[in-house]
Amino acid sequence: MKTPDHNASWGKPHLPKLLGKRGQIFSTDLIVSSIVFLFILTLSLIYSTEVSNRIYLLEADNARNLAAFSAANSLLLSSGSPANWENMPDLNYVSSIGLAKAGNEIHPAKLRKLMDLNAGNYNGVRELLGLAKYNLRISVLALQSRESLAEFGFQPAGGKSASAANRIAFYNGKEVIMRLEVFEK
Amino acid sequence: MRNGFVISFDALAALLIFLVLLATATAYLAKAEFKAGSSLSLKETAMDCLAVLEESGKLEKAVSSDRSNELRGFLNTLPYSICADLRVYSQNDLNTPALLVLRPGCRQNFRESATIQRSIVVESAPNPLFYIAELRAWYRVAE
Repeated sequence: MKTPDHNASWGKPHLPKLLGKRGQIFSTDLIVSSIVFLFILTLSLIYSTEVSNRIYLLEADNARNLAAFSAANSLLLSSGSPANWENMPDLNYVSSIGLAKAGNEIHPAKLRKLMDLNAGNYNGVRELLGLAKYNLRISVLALQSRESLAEFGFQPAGGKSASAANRIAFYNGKEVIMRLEVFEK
Repeated sequence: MRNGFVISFDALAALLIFLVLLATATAYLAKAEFKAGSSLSLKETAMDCLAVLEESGKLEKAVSSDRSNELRGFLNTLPYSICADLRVYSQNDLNTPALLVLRPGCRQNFRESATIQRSIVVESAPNPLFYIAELRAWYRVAE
């Protein structure tokens, strides 16, 4: 007959046995869990960076498109301020640039002045059109033949992101397309 | 030795849920685009076309002569990607167009379009006549 172990106390029946086992915290399961956790963390970081880059690009596209649309609108639908800005000695007297003679009709003298400004005042024109952050090119093409009738600005080298606003207008008795291209710097 | 199985299973389940959420978020994010730009551009094209047709006198000429050749010619010179149809309604009948021109080669199979109306006055004795020109523009859909 087995005699009861009077040394054993309640709640600690196998203490001597457990004391012999160390290192439970470094078990395979914990290692696997840690690897999975680190994998998820890394993936989350990569993904959130990717998402923020994508949103930044979309926002940049959005802003560039809107800038192109509004600059094209002000060129084609307003005559500028002052309305005879093409006769001013320099751009310090001009607060906005417009090419309109009437709605959708381009004033030949204003367009000629704009082309003249290309050589020395490209940056000033960009600022007046609200496109200081970008490069731009304005071309007037015959609607029928797509022949270029006038051009301002330049297309930067390399594959820069661009937005274009094409507006149909009337110029010197011809139907034309006024194309405004806006490029990232 | 089989201890800790539950913990590993939890971790794998968490990974699975995370990947599903990631895939869902990616799918939604891929759909994000600048849609306002294309509809704004269509609307502006339609407005420009009507303004230029009125400015050049082609609209008035077409209405008074009841011939749509020049209007068709104009629509044909628009950029290839743009389709348009133009209807001109007389003040006396706003249900049946007096003139109807569809850009040759275009079909009305669009999902998105912009419609602009503009009133025009045509000289006529003894009183001038009022017309409403309606231009609808859409992007050409590849067949």
